[in-house]
Amino acid sequence: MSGYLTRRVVHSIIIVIGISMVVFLISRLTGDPVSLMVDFDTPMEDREVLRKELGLDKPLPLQYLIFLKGAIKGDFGTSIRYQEAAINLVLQRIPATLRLIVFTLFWALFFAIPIGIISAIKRNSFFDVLGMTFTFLGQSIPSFWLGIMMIMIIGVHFRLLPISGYGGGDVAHIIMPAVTLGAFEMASFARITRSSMLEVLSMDYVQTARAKGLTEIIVIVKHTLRNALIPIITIMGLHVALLMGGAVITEQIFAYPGVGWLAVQSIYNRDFPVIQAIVMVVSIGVVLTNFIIDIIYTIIDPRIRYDREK
Amino acid sequence: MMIRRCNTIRLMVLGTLILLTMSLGWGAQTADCRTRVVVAQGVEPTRLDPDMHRENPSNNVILHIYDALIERDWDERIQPDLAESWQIVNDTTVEFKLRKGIKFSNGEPFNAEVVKYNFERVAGLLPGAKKTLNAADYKSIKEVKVIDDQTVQIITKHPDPLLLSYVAAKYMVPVEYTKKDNFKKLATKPIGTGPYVLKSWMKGGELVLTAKKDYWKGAPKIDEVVFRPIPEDSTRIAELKVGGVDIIANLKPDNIQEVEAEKNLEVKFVPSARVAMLFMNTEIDNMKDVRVRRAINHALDVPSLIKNVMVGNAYRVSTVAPKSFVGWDPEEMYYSYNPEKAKRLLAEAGFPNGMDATILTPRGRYLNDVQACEAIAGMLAKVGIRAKVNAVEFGVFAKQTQAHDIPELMYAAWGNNHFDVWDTIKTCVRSGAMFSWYKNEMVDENIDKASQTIDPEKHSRYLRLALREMWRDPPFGYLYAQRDIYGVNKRVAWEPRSDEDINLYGAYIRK
Repeated sequence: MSGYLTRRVVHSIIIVIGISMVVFLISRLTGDPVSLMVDFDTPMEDREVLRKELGLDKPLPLQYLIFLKGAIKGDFGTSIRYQEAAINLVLQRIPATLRLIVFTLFWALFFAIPIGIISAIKRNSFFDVLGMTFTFLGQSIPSFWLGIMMIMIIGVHFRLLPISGYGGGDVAHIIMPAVTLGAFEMASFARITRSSMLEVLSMDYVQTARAKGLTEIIVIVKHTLRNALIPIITIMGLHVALLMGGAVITEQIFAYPGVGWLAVQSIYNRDFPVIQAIVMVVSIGVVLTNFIIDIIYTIIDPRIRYDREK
Repeated sequence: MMIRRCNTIRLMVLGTLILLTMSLGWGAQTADCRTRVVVAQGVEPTRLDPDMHRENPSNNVILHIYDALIERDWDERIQPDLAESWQIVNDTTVEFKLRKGIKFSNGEPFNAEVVKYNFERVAGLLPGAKKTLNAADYKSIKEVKVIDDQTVQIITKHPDPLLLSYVAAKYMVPVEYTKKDNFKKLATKPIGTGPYVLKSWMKGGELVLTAKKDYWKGAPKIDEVVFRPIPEDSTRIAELKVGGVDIIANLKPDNIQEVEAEKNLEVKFVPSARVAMLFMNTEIDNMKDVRVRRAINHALDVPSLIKNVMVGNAYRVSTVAPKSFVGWDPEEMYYSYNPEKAKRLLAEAGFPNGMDATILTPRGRYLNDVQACEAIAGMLAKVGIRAKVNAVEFGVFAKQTQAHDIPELMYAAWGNNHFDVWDTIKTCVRSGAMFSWYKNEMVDENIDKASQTIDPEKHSRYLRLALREMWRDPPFGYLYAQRDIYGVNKRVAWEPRSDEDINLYGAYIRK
């Protein structure tokens, strides 16, 4: 196991360095940040001052080396727009986004797994059709539309929930963003649960378990669901990265002060240091998540071993 | 089987109940007797150091925290503020008499030395201070002379017609507080003499200002002013409807009805200092002939643009100076809408079969910019100019214009903080200027003359001469000044301003 872990860590580092290079280059291909930071009619000399101050006058490879050297120490430079350490801006926003993602995963799984299980064991019944129609909608509704509709109906018409902002972190402020963000995930989880359950249900050992006279609950939960979990967990791991992407739109709609909104703003303002810090922090997060998922596999299914020799 | 299903249903019901309870808990939390007004802006402020930013969202917060020597009133006329009076000593010297007994919120006194320190900082005369982002505005300052504790003179290298306007935009920051760390803390923990102090600022969330009860002009009537960034238009409007925010700027014409339909809301309009212009690149061969440029002006049906594209939210301007500007010409002359004449002029200029052209415009930067350009392209097509609209994201637009690389036509709505047309034409018309694609010696001469006098009479006379020549030999297709639209909760008695400032000092809550 430890050999495997070392290999995974080395791979992860290479991935992160690769990402840093791509991000650095792409963000600099898109234009001149100074022109966006100042008024339209700011004289050239003032622009030069700013450009120099931000180190944008140096050659690209040198800019990258400076960036990399700092990045190792967690220093991504000073935000062009805010004049604050970029990493601090990102770290300030991480808790809000993590909350959103955890809350989203929680409700998505909370509904998806029961729907998936019922659809599988009552295959082709009314419940199955209902469940699958529901998930079909969840997968096809664009999140920005769902978000705006919820704002109009739940927020404005019925005034049940606050419309935007963080509100000091109370749960009410997170419900609409989480539902918006999670509709797609919930649907995906429910479908994968259903198909995975169906596959396992047809296995001989499920027959055996039933033949032994075990109660249906034990058969479903212990013998079927547990074996069906591997694909669900895999999808969940992949979706954490997708959720980060989805959070960009959702946070923007609900003015939810997370990393996604900061990302949009920074891209729009060409705030390179912040863009880089966000992408680095998020990609490290995704790499870590996948790492954790791999370990969770071994817990759920003890047959999975990562050692080569044994 | 039965048991299992019941369990699932029970869990779902429980989950729904939890969610409902949470939402009810939220409804009960607002009970506060302090008056509070929430302003939603598209983005949040960047820095609260008044000399280290160049954007409106920051300025709107800053103007509540700081004061300047003089200020513009709601009609954009200059009035005393921290200075009780001023006097033009000669073409390069202005003397200010300061009010006595004013203190910064940290207790530091305000006096002539503070004024000297402040202007030296922005003029680049303060040793060790970083160049400020507004430095270009104050580069004409040669010296700031302290006459006595309450009297100070600003001496410029040459006559600067906009000096008073710049002084009105220079907010006073304290000396000792900023000296300690070279202005570092000022950006996030501002200290001023203004009506409000910063209470808290959660990035991405609320920025809260609290009223200073002992403000020298009298305590503000609103206890707390809160600024919140909400990037989505529809979310801002939704928040306004439910009372989550009280004031939103940049309401789109399409949303006016929606806001007006609400009992508790009203829509407020104010003529803007932003003038839309169709730049013509006379450096391109096709655009050199004045007849082509006149033809374009005759092809533009401006009243129809205002009515149909701007939905009434604009005012026609004869040239580039609306009525509120210094330099406005009372004998307003307009190009008539006359497609036949336009065709004739084009033919005379050697384009009997018309020509191709491209209109460059940013996408979504100005009110209905792309729609306006599409309508303009349609009008030009009628006289034989086959115009293609090239709508780009603002970053690309800015880069292209600054590189001096624009096609035949470009649409931009130019802001003007000084309400002086000189500021517009010195950057967009004077040959050799950053955004000028035009050369006319008579215009240049009058712009230069206007810049050499501080006497308001002479200054505006030269500007009128320049504008008349610009009408004859047009560098632009002349269009309209925008109208700014605000959505306001009726409980707040507040008036918008032409300069886009959102100032809540003087506003109050209706009983």
